[in-house]
Amino acid sequence: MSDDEAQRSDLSDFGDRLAKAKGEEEAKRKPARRSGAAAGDGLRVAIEFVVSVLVGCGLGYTIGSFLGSPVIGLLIGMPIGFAAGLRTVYRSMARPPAEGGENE
Amino acid sequence: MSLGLNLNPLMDRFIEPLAAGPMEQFEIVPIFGLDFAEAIDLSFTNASLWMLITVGTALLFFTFATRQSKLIPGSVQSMGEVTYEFVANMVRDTMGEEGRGFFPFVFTLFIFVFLCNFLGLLPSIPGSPTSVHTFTPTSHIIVTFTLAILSVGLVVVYGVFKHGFGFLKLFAPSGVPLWLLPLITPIEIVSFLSRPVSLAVRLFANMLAGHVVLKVFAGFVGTLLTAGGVLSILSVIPLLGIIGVFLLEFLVAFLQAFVFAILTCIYLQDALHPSH
Repeated sequence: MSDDEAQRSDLSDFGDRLAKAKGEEEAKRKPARRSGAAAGDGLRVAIEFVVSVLVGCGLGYTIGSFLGSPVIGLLIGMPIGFAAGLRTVYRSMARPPAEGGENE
Repeated sequence: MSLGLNLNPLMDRFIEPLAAGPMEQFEIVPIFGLDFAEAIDLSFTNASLWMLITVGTALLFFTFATRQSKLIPGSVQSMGEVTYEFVANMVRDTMGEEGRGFFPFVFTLFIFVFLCNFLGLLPSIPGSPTSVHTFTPTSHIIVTFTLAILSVGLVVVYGVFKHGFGFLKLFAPSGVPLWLLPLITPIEIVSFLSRPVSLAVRLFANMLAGHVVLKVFAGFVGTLLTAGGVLSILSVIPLLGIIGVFLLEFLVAFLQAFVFAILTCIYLQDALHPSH
């Protein structure tokens, strides 16, 4: 009986120690993972923004050259691409991929 | 050599390959030519070979993983199950139960991209001909762009198939006043068109940059080692750098495949529900 109790207290003690160790481990890990993820997010957003501007410019230039004036097309396409880039960045920051579309 | 060692055999074996330019590893080498007409070159290249190896590996792995299903899974089976669960959860979290039908597509995409990235990190067999050197198909933008176009094309096809003209609501978000629509619609269209491009560029740039960094560091090791004296000893530093970057690349290989798959899920969600 006393054996059983000793074992049980031993076990609960083990549980406590395990929880404590886990907590310490988590605390150690979390900041590193976050800064890494933030850098990844930053790069992702930067690529999205640049690509949006370039696609806007390219589209404007192409449509413009079909209509006779590539320069005017470029001038219209660039701000649209810029706005689209900002919109993409805003949207992907409001909805980080790691969490999926849950906050929609 | 100033270290008093005869480094020549070592040089021939290891330093010579290090002297290759950082971009040489991305060269497409035909293995056997299939040049039908002047315009169409369908040669079987090292890129084709490594894509085949990727598909073969995936096939072999999942054949083994599902061959003898046990209640208590073995190591291979549980790896397969973890992969399945991981992608299944990703699909369920982003698209809900409606998205179930897209699971095979997303799963195939994820496994293909991940294995392309991953197998490309394996070292080449020393002394093997250039055509069978380790090659990362995803470090070529045409490969990633094809995959991206495939995903976005599926979004368009499925969206039009399911909603007809209603799919165009994607370009006119709800809650926008009518007078703003002429301004918002072009922005939304450009934003939509930039999706496949950014999807492709992100994966390609990550793979390319990682492999170039590895090669440049390897070049440092070679240069320092042949410089002699104290500088030879310093070559340990870039070597440690290579180890660090190499380990990081494994993380990047997984992370980029994950990002590719989850962004595909998010875009497919648009096909399911075009009005935001």
